Amino acid sequence: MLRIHNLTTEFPTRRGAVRAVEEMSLSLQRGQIMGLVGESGCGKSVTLLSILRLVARPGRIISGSIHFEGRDILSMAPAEVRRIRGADIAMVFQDPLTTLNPVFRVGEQIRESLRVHRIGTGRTSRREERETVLSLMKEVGIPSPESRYWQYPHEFSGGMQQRALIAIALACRPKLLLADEPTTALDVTIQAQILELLSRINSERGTAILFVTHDLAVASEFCHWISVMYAGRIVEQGPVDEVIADPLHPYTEGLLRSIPRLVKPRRRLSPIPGDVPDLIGLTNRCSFESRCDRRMPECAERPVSLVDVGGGRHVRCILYE
Amino acid sequence: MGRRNLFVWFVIMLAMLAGGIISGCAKKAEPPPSDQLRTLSFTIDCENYNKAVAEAVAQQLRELGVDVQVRVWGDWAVLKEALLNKEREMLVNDWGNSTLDPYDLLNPKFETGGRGNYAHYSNPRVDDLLKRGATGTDEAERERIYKEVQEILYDDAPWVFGYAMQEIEASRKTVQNWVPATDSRINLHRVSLTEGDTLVVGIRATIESLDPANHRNRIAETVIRNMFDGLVTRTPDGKVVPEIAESWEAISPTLWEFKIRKGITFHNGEPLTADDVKFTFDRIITEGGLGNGKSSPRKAGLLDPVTEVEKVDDYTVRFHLSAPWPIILQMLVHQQIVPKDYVERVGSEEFAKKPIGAGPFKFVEGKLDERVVMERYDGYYGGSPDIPGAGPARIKRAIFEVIPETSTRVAALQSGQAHIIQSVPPELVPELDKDPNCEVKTVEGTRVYFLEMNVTRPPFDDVRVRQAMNYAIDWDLIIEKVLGGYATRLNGPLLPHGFARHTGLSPYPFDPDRARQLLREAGYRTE
Amino acid sequence: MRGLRVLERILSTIPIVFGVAVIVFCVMRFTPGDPIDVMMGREGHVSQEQIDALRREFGLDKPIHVQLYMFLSRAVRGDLGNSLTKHRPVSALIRERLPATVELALGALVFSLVLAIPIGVISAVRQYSFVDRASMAAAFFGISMPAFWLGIISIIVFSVRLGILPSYGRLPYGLEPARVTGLYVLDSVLTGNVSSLVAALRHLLLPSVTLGAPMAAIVARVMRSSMLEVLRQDYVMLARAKGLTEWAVITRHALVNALIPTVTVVGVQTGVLLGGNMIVETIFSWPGIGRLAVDAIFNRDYPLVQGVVMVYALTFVLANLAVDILYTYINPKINL
Ligand SMILES: Nc1ncnc2c1ncn2[C@@H]1O[C@H](COP(=O)(O)OP(=O)(O)O)[C@@H](O)[C@H]1O
Ligand SMILES: [Mg+2]
Repeated sequence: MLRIHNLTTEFPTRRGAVRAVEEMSLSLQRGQIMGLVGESGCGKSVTLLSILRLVARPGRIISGSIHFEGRDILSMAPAEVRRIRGADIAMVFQDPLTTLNPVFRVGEQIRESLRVHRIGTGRTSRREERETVLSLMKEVGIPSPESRYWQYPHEFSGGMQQRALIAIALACRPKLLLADEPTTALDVTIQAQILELLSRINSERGTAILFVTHDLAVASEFCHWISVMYAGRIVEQGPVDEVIADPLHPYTEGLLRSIPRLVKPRRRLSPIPGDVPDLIGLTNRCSFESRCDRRMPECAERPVSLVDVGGGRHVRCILYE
Repeated sequence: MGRRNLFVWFVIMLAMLAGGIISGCAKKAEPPPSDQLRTLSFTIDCENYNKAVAEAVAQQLRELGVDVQVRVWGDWAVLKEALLNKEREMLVNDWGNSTLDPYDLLNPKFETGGRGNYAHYSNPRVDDLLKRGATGTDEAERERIYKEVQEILYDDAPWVFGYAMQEIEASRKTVQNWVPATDSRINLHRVSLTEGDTLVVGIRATIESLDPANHRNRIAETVIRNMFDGLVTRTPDGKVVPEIAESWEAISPTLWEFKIRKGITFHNGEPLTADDVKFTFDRIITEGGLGNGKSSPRKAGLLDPVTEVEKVDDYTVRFHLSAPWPIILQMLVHQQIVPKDYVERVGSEEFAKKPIGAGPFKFVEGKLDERVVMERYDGYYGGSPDIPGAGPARIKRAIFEVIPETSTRVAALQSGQAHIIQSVPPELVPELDKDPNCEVKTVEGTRVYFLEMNVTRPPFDDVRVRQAMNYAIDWDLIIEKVLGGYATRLNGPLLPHGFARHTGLSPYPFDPDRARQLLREAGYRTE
Repeated sequence: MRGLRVLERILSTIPIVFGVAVIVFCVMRFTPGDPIDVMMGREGHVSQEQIDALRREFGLDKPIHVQLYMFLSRAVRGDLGNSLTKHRPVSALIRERLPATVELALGALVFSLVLAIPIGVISAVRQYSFVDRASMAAAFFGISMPAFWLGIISIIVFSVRLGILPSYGRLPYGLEPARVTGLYVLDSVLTGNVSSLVAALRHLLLPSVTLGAPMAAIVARVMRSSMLEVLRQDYVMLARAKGLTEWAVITRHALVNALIPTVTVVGVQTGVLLGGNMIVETIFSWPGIGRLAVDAIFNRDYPLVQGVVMVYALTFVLANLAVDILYTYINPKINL
């Protein structure tokens, strides 16, 4: 249902263009949960924003296509994109506190999502809308929704705020949910509840989820498929269990080594040395080369492309070419 | 002590005296060597409206090597306090002299301890002459006295004698038969319009009151004078002529008799008689005369010598004076006759709200800091027969609008909202001259401008420095460049068209060499 | 609940107003210059006895603390005394002129908000565009331009050169509408007097613009920067992600948030508006309390200065109170 092909998004800066996303390709089936994993700053959020064409100026999408249910979002008229936003594709943001508008009541913010896409299609009364909102709030697990409806965001706890955001996203029964690190800002127990909520939504409603996280452990528990990003590019892609069990790309391997829960006994916990490279002026050569423990002289010399290694798995590394 | 001793003492004294004279002569003949000369340095004070002149003066003095600062004071009251404390050095100042009589100018400015004597000038001979001038009644004698005062002041130079400002006012071309008056009153009695019948005058400040006995302000008088007449009035060029009084006679220096014109009525139709005249003045000279324990502010300095106003018959009154008062006629111009019955009936407060007079216009409505509206009084007796054009007013309605900001007043005239405006600053005259619908009119004013020097402290305790200042300033240039030419040079303290002005004195010439010499003699460095 | 709090706040302003009055009382008394002296003119030669008599009449011969006590004890009863120069009760003088000042202040407020808020928003939305650069340059101009200069220039341009607007006053003679509130614009509307309304608005325009210009400039700049800040916020992104049009995103979600700092600035600027009105009322011959104050200060009319300053203080405090109340409506996090 969603097919991203060769997406490149760029931010012009004074020092040159930052390619936040480069030649990104990704596809997602109905009802699937795809994890998008990578260190922070590698371009995950920009990918999501690109899908809804919400990349803030001066950033812009340079090339590529994003087909949603057969139509290319990138070539749609702005009004058409708006019709998709919130209705077919909804988004859950990372920080619930700053994402809810502080001056409006929570219930009204949820109701607004309903309103936006009801224009022209049958008049629903305010009362009916409120009923819908209340049941949505109940569905995402907000207790006593009748009184919560009239509260302001600052009167909600972090977990409740995130539930409210999910309710906003679910209001129009979207087919695809873009979840940008929805649990990062929450503490661990709440995190688990939210993940549970999301997977329930996925199974009950059949909503596909593109789930962004920098936490491979979370991704491994929650997702069906996984895409690993590094410096704006996909470096490895495949079914989650296989990628975890047998990482192909040295970067994925490194990521797995740095996560305590996933480290096999007797192996040492070790962070990846070095820093994410500057995204300015990157070439299409391997950008992980400088931090790679299996680097070869060839790495710095020629471009690498994403290679299909069979079994739905892809990897971008000179070792597999 | 023997004779010899006395003789020795005498010789010693003589020697000392001689030495003193010789050293004095030496000092006069030869200024101290240049390494002993000091720089002359002082501050010129002024208020904002005199700033341009102060700056020009400072500029000219700097060219002589004098170190001059200009200090502009925002508030006269503060400056005055400093002046009275004798703290200041030189002041750009001005003094109004609407009676055109020296009594009103020389006495307050040069008498020891005089109210306006910010030079702190004190000279027994001048004091004596001024006292005689104030009480004498013989015109020729007074003229002689004041001429002598002018000669003394010319040499003593407590002022740098400056200029008399001309009054600059302006009107639309549609306004006929209007000339500005030397005392800056705007009398609309004889004025007519070629277009419309409502005339709007832009005046420069809030009107204090519409009660002729309850203000202290020329603006109020300007407005009031169109609704009220006085015993006498003044022609535009300053001569006193009969108005409500048809004639007068000084029975003695302290007793004056006035005959009142018959057939004059107030705006409420009641006839004006000696009772009203007596009432008018009693209200002012009696303590608490305004009622409610309030006294009129129009006595002090304006009617002090009047002790009693006596009704002789219905159309004759006599003024009893405590001392001879040479300027009585000039001063009576500033008092207007009010209706006794009406004022007694409604009280002073109500009277000020709805004034009734015997002048050419009757009151319609008034907000004192906004506007006063008046309409022609058809029963008017016609005003002074000595000024051409007597009869009822020609315009139907007159409106005095308060427009304090000068530029706005000029704009109001140019845009046609006003027909006559008061007080046009010289710098805006060219703008009005260009406007084909407007006309600028000038008249010799009643205000002299001068630099007042504090004679009680250095550097101006030295008459040579004061004279040097008089030679050092090129007033003609300042009049030309700063004042747009709208001023007349003074040869002393008195107005060019005032009474007793000394025509034998010529203004201090602009003579920088003479100024330098005097300054060097006084011990100051020059360039 | 809110009503009670508001009442409490209003009552708590009374000491402030009195404090200001006492300070002004003292400042005026210690400023050189004497009301009687000023009253008698610079050139009248008046004797000391005459001056003393007048001082007695106005109670100025008493020691300062006695005068202060008399002033305060009368003031609590609502009696501000009599003007020394205008010979009428101060409260009556203020009451007469207040509507003119209020009308001008409202005109300036409306002008500055109506102009500045859209400009601030457009400048932020189209940051670095021509519109943005032009209006920010104008705003810089607006802040640094003295009201005096702006007033004179606008009179010269609009009433002298173009002849389309009057140069002074509130209304020409004969056009005053029947008095309801004293605000000519409002009264003309209430009494259905169209010719008065048109004339009143024409007279109000230039003074309002002159008085409101600095405020408009400041509000536009604050509005722009707070809007830029708000546009970066996640909730604006969420609003877009909901599928709202850009117009709705800006006017509904961003504007309200961006108004929060603006409201504070408007409250503070009310003081500036009051200060500026002395100059503007003088330039445009506007018969309000600003001009009353100017006259009173130069005449050392103590009771009148005190009265006017108390009105200023009260207005300032009330404006800030109004802002605080408004604040609780637009910012739910704040309680009174
Ligand atoms: N508004 C912006 N202006 C400039 N650069 C940006 C902007 N937003 C994102 N970037 C760049 O894009 C890169 C990817 O950002 P993002 O997608 O937010 O990372 P993450 O993977 O943590 O979500 C960042 O390293 C940053 O340099
Ligand atoms: Mg992110």
